[in-house]
Amino acid sequence: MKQKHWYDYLWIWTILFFALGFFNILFAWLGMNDFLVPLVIAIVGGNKAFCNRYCGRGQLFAVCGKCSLKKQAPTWIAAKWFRYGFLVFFLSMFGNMIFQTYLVAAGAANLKEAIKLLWMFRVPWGWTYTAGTVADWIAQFSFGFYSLMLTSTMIGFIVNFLFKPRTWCSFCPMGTMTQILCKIKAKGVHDHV
Amino acid sequence: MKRLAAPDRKVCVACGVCMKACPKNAISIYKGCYALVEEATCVGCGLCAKVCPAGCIVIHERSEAK
Ligand code: SF4
Ligand code: SF4
Ligand code: SF4
Repeated sequence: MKQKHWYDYLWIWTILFFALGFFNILFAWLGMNDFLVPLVIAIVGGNKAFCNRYCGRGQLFAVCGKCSLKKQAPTWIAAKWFRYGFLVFFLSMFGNMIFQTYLVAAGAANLKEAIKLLWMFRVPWGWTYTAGTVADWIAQFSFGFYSLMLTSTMIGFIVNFLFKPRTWCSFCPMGTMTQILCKIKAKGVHDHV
Repeated sequence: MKRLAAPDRKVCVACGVCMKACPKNAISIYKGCYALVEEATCVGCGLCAKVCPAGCIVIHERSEAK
């Protein structure tokens, strides 16, 4: 058995994050950590320490690895076209979510107290928010961001069950983005032989 | 040792799943770009290949592996 470190338990944080958002949607803002920290580590450190050590979601998939058929995923799942394509798709969905937030902030749209799963299914989520607690756009962002986090985790669990544990990591947009940043940073440095 | 793990750098997503699984700690993630196997340490057990979600690690016979 390998020695366990404190950061091997960060999967608990991921469960906590989703649980908190079930009671108060404003906790969704805490998820920005999982968005910014990996980027900062990749840009400043030039490594994937986030994926390799600190990502609670990746760990949660590994922890749930017992409930998996452990089949090898088809090769296209880790192919560049699919990974980059999924990244572009994900970023445009992220952009759309920011745009919705802007519309609410500008008064051009009303706050929708619901989350959207898989970009299609609207689920009422109103009990997690009391209207007027904060500015509407802050709440709108919470619902939107939580939707993205929950959607990606759902997709992750589906592939986790069908294929090997952490198959999500082979096309995770954050993982792809940080690897691209690291590759850009490592360029010019001699390749290891 | 007769066998050696060889991750395909073009496919590797640098997730580090193999690194965690290796009983010999022979794998590191090189600058966040790909998995790098320390040839002298790898015993060719194949555990890393078994868990790699991208399925990009091949276990070579050392004689073929240059
Ligand atoms: S690839 Fe994504 S889910 Fe996997 S460890 Fe990295 S950031 Fe986490
Ligand atoms: S084959 Fe075994 S010893 Fe070699 S890198 Fe893979 S897990 Fe480590
Ligand atoms: S598990 Fe596979 S994809 Fe992940 S770092 Fe190791 S060789 Fe690369």
